[in-house]
Amino acid sequence: MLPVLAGVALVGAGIWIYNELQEQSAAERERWRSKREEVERSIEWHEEQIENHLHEARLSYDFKVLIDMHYSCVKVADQAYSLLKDARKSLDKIGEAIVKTKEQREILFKRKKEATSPSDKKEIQEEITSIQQLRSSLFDDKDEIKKQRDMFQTRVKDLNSKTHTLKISIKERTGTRGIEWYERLEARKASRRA
Amino acid sequence: MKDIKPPPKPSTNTGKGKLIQDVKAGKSLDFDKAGMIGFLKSLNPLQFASEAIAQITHYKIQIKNLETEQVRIQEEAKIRHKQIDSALKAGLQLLEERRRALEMALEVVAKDLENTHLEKQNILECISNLVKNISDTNLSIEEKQMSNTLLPELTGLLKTLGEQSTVKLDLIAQNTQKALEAMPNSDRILTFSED
Repeated sequence: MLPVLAGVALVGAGIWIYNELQEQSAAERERWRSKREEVERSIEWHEEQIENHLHEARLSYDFKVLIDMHYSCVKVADQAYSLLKDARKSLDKIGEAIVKTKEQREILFKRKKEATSPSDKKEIQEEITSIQQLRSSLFDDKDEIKKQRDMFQTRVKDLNSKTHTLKISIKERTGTRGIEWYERLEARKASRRA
Repeated sequence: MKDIKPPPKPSTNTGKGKLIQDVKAGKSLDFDKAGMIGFLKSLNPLQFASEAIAQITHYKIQIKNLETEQVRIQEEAKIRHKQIDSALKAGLQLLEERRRALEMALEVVAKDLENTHLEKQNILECISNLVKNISDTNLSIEEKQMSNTLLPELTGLLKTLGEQSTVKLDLIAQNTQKALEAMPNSDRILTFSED
């Protein structure tokens, strides 16, 4: 009887140990799975943080590049515009001189017609010739300065268009910093106009 | 100024922040219970115990590995953040230096053009006075002729100054263009090695 009981107890203990080990093994497996998921989530989180950091850094850098480009473009455009204004003024002045010489030439023609003495006529004719030469020279210079004015005008338009493109790029491609910069710029412009 | 290099395009960052990791390398421990050998093994009562103990030990080691990996990942992430900050700082410093150099060059040309502008203003004033002489009846024919000779000299000077200014403007535009083209874009400055 005793050996039977001992056998049953041994089997019972064996089953208990087996169950205990099975449970422990399952628990460890579960801990491993959950730890693995936790580490995977942590990796994803870190990767996302790095991506965001990298993205922000790129936006900062691009913002600076575009701002510098915009600044240079504005500076060169200002110079081109100043040259354009000078060319316009020069043209106005030459135009004024051409009109004046035309008026004077008409007066001299009239005076020559009315003049009776040959010496007076000769003197007037000399003045007319001098004015004709002057007019011819003024017309030549006017044509040249007109070409310069047209060239400066094209440059100004081109540079203004580039400046505008850069301004929009800053607004649209460099995040909130770019939007804020754009808004400040527009506000400054509006206050200058007011 | 020719076409400026197109502004930097929005960066595509996908995959650029990936960390080195081998979490997926850890596997569960399963014993082969199929076939005749598996059946014979399962008859051995100690086999269950040894397999269970082996599994417990295996998972404990795996968990320890994961904990180490987690710490390593955190450290690697810190290094990446520091790398980004340093690269950005270096890039911005480079841009600042270039900007200062460009600004100085622009100022020199601007000053030069400003002087030319003032010179033109003086010439225009002289032209105004000479234009008045055309119809001035108090002047002698000699004086008028002198004035008429001087006037085209001055308009010619305006033309020459305009030509010189065009050359200067071209130069400043070209130099600015070159300086802007030399600016490295963010993809070149802020990037990780794919190795």
